[in-house]
Amino acid sequence: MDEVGRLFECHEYFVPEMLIAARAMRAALEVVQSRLTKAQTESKGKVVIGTVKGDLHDIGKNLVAAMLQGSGYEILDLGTDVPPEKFVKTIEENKANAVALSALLTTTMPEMKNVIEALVKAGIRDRVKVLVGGAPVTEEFAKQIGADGYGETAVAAVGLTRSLVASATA
Amino acid sequence: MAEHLGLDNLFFVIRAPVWAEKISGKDGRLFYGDGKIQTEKDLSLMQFPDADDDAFYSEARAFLRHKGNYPVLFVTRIGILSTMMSMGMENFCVALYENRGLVEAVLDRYCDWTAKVAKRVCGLGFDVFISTDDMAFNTTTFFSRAVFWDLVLPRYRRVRENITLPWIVHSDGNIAPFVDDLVDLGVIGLHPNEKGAIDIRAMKQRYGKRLSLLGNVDLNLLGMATPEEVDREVRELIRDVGPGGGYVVTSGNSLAGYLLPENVRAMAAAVRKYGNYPLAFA
Repeated sequence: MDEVGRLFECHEYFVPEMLIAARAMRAALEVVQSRLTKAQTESKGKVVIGTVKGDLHDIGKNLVAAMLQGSGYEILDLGTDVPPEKFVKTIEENKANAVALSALLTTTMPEMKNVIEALVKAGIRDRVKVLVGGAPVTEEFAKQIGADGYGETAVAAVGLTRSLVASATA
Repeated sequence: MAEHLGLDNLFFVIRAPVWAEKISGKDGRLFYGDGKIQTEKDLSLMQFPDADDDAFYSEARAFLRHKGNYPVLFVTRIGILSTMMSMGMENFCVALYENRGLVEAVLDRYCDWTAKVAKRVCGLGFDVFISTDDMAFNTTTFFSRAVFWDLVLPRYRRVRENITLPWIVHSDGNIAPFVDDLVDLGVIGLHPNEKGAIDIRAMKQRYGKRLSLLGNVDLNLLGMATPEEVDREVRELIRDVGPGGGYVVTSGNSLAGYLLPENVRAMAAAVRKYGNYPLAFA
């Protein structure tokens, strides 16, 4: 998947090729997992993902989920129109390492901040890394709302998850 | 309303149906869910309105009768976006490699219908033909230029034969990798040159008089900034993209319900203030 990411970054691969590769990776993992020991099949981390409240767009979110899953992360996909409390509950119940928030609308972007505030209120903000992405989202906005990182593309989101989760578990 | 918003044109839309789940969001906003065309069997769902029936254009004719002095843009989709939505993005992507025939069959049905519509509407009295097929994300196109050449361009050419009005293409995102091909095809304008996805100043430099550029006024500004910031944005766009003509000031995507009315009015006022030729910046 790293090579797929590299090819996407240099515009040799596009969304269809990434999706096909992620599907192939998922299928391959299912085959090999039964032959590996528990230690060998341990995921790289748990990531809760969803499109924030009021927003029903899911193409970008699904792509990030597919790429993360293909890269060895366990994905808890909450779908679209997800309220902050649902993110908090799922993170708590599953002891997730990261949460990835998606929004396509300028009006729903503020919901990302509401999720972060809900994490603070629940006392778990320091236990989970927050990634944000989506067409109107910017690095500046991510900093402004106190997210840990912004992924411009699905590939960037994977790289970001890797470095954030690794630094948190190091 | 047009006068109030400072518009200098009107538009009329006819689009083919999209065969996908429709989900109602907040404030009546409509979202498309899963595509309904998953296999060859589903192709029978694609029953289009009769584009050869005169009655199908009665609303368009009525609209044109009441247009006053405004030029009217005819807006439709050629079909690649409708194909993606009707198949569902993920299914479309997989089918590009595993069942290209299904993608071609869906797209052919859309393009054949649009070609008929184009032939009829170009004779009705519209001034401009606009096709609105989104083909890009912020960073690049949905699919490669090779797929564009192989799948989309030949079908766009077929429709193009029936477009006898000036043709403007709309696509969200960074459509730049396809623009050379679109210009060769005879497209004369590009909309909306979304801020953050397209560098409109670079486009002006590259295409000069071969391509008119429309849009680029930042939706984030229109939704969240002050009227003064909008005024500055419009001024700078006219200063940089306006010289020599070929620039139409408008928002960098559709005017959505969440924008601030005072900012949209500020955009219109700034056009009147800075947009008269000869430009004050020359």
